[in-house]
Amino acid sequence: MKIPALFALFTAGCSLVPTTVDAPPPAITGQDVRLTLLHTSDLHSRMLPYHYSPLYTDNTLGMPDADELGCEPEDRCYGGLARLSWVIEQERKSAGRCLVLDTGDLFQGAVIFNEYMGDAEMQVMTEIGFDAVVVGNHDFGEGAARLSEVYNAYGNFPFLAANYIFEDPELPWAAELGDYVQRSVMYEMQGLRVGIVGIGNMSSLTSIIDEDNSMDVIPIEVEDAIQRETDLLTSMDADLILVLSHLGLDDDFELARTLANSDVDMILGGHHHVAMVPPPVILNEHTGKRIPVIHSGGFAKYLGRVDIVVRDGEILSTDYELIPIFDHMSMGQDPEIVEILEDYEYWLDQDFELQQVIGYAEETLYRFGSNGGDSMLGNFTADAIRFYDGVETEMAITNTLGIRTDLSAGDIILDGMYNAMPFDNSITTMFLSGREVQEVLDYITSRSSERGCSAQAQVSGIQFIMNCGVGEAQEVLINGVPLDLDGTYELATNDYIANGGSGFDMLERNTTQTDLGISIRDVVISTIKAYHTLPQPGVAEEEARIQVVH
Amino acid sequence: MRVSPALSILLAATITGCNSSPHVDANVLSFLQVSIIAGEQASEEAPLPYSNDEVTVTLKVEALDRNAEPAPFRGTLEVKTQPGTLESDDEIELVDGVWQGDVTLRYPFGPTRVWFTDEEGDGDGREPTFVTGVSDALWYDLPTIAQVQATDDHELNNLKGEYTTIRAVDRRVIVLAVGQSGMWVTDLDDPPGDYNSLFIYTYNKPEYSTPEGDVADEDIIYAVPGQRLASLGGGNQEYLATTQLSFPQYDFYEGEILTVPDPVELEPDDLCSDDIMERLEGGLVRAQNLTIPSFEYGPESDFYSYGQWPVEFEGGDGCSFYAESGAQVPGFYPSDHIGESLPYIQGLVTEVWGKWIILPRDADDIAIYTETSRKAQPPRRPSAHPRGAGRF
Repeated sequence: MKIPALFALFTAGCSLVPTTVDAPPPAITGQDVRLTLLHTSDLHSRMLPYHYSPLYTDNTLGMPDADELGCEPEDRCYGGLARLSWVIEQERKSAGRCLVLDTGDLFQGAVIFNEYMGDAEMQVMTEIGFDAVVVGNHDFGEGAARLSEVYNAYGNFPFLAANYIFEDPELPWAAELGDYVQRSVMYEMQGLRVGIVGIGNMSSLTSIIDEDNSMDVIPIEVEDAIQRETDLLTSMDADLILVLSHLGLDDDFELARTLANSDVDMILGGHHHVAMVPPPVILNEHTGKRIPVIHSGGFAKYLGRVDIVVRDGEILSTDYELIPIFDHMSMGQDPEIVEILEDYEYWLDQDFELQQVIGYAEETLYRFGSNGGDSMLGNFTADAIRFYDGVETEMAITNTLGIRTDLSAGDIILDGMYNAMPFDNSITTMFLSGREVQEVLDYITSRSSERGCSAQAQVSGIQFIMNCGVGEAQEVLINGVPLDLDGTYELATNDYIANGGSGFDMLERNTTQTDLGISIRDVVISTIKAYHTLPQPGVAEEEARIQVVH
Repeated sequence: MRVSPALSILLAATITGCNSSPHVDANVLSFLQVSIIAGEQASEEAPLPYSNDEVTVTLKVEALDRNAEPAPFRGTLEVKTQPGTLESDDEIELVDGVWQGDVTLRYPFGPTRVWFTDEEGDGDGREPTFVTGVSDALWYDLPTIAQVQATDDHELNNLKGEYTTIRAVDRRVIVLAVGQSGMWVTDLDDPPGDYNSLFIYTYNKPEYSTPEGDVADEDIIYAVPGQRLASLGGGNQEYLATTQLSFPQYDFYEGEILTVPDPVELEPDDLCSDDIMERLEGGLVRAQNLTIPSFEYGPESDFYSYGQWPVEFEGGDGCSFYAESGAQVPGFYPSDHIGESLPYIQGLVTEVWGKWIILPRDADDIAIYTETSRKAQPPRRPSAHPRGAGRF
């Protein structure tokens, strides 16, 4: 009989008060009890340290620029799980009751995942000793079967999602994964019982299914899932209930505000790679309870530390600190993690020569435009796709979020290209009518207007006004000529949005698609090598291809 | 060992921590109990008035053992307050398990608690326990916008770094203007132009919501000027030296729209004073009798990078300032008007490290604005703050 992975009771702690093994827990009733939560999210396979150009917002969160640190790209001064683990260990030593939590998306974002499909991530998370990890949408990046396989091989931490059901008699590994993924977990730490409910992402289900990469899960209503688990945890005398969520920022806010369940005390979230300092405290409209919502960024750039004082099951006060992870004199590396990763690093270097210099950026090539329109890296990528030998279409469109990082000023290292373009997408061409082109650009405008009027796609051969005020693409030019609604145009794009990813349904239904099987990352790499130095006039520059009007 | 839920549920809950020891001191510190000895605690329903002045309370801290009995603990505790700033010593010494003394706070608001933590050990080999006790809540009223903004330093505010809830429920706090990524709010119950305005960064165009909840997605209604806020809170930041609340939470009084006040008139010398401009930050102002001086608009210019263009008072009075109009008035090309008179410009005041900028809300805020043919112009680079910082 399959035993449902409903719930588990564990014990944990960091540097707890010395006590005898047989001693009963302290009498916490009526007393103040401190709990420390160490929080990461969206590690996205950034097991190895990397180089990047911190944004102003990063600077305000304590992350220094590379030149302040004297770091060159090859020094890889930022992030890395060996550094993160070292910091976690230091923080554990300066905490009593303590839990180490991650809110999902361990996978996809670096070459180590492309090559080893999660082995390194699972080993490292287990070695660090995470007390709970939520299943994120990118953890299905190589499919649910692979997730099950790699967790079975290396995972040894509670892997949570209360709102997914894994049931498909046709897929034997689905039941296996269902056994591994728990709905909730409870920790007892010196008398304090902390229940943790995991909530997986819902918004990505459609896109992932649409691109024929199903997560193979059946989602259930989030509130119902939380209610069921909090009922269980409360019946087990939980003093505190935390929700670990990969729903995303707005959904977490909404949940905190509208959740009728009065037992949830805090939400720790992920998915949007946002670090919020100080964290918002949301007033629940049903219960009047103040629920902190914690997001601590992504890519192992930061470790979030939350200190809570609890009395009789109520959070009395909260303190939050975001600790930047970068190379400096007082930061070490966890030798155990270094040891795990050095084999991977060695072989990646052997196979890919990841540290080879493929070009030079005279300034940082940004993936987002400075005014919300077309971007340097977006234009370069779209041009690279469009003009590649054998592609050569009239226009190209690629989703901005398919480019995951900027390319920092200085030498462009091959490794950085896997960070910037971690997805193994290929070029797809298709023919569109002028009306369909207009529909695509209107959709881009509408979607962008919901995201700070920041262009959610990058284009080549196309110029238009992205009017976020009315949600329409206006004054569309194709290679300098006004769009002919009755005309026919050939488009090159990536297979992700061609298959309807990110809501591009109008592309998915196109029957003229041809997947050329050409890796977009390889195309971009070879184009960088061809130009070597970027930007150049008309290459990797912002060109007002997408002009923003509010 | 694989974590098996079916087995792990059976695990006994008796494990010790990383630095644990099998030997125990029965009197080891397990809890700290904090009592308010003197100083008004007030209540949520009847809080003490908010003040930027110092507040002193007398507290007593007692060490307890694992049975919640008094423990003869001797050691140093660290002190801090949430929220607010601690003005008195951040360490106290517990002797025979007890300390009593004064703690001085500044900028407390809402439920404020003082933390005491055994954080440092004693240097004689005693490891810290990280045991923490907090005072019961000292209830203070929420700060008004002006109480948050009023500082001597134009690059700071009093509650920077705090999740700041603004006193709105019994004030006439309204939306002054709405941009693509946020809104400006002002408190009509304070004198205009005296720290009473604030920018709220919402990332997307701010939506209207009421205490009954947001409207449905398919029926998004945006906030409009004049709407009165019932509540407002957010992460308090100084973004490029302009105060803003980010990741805000807010609600409006349903159907209540008040008149947006007229802009505050700027005198030429006002622009020479960071102190005066700081008072106006986030607020609506108007400057008159102006001219657009010659300025660089090539690729290396502030105009190209940020859409900012200079404005001077006619006759060279006072100090010059900048305007930024690309996003809200995209058809206006200031380079076409160099040397021309500008009867007035009005808009919202923002700061970028001592550079004072007026953000017109629309074409009506620039007196000489006339619609210019877009096609006759070279591609214009619309305004932008450093990445991710767009106001409108």
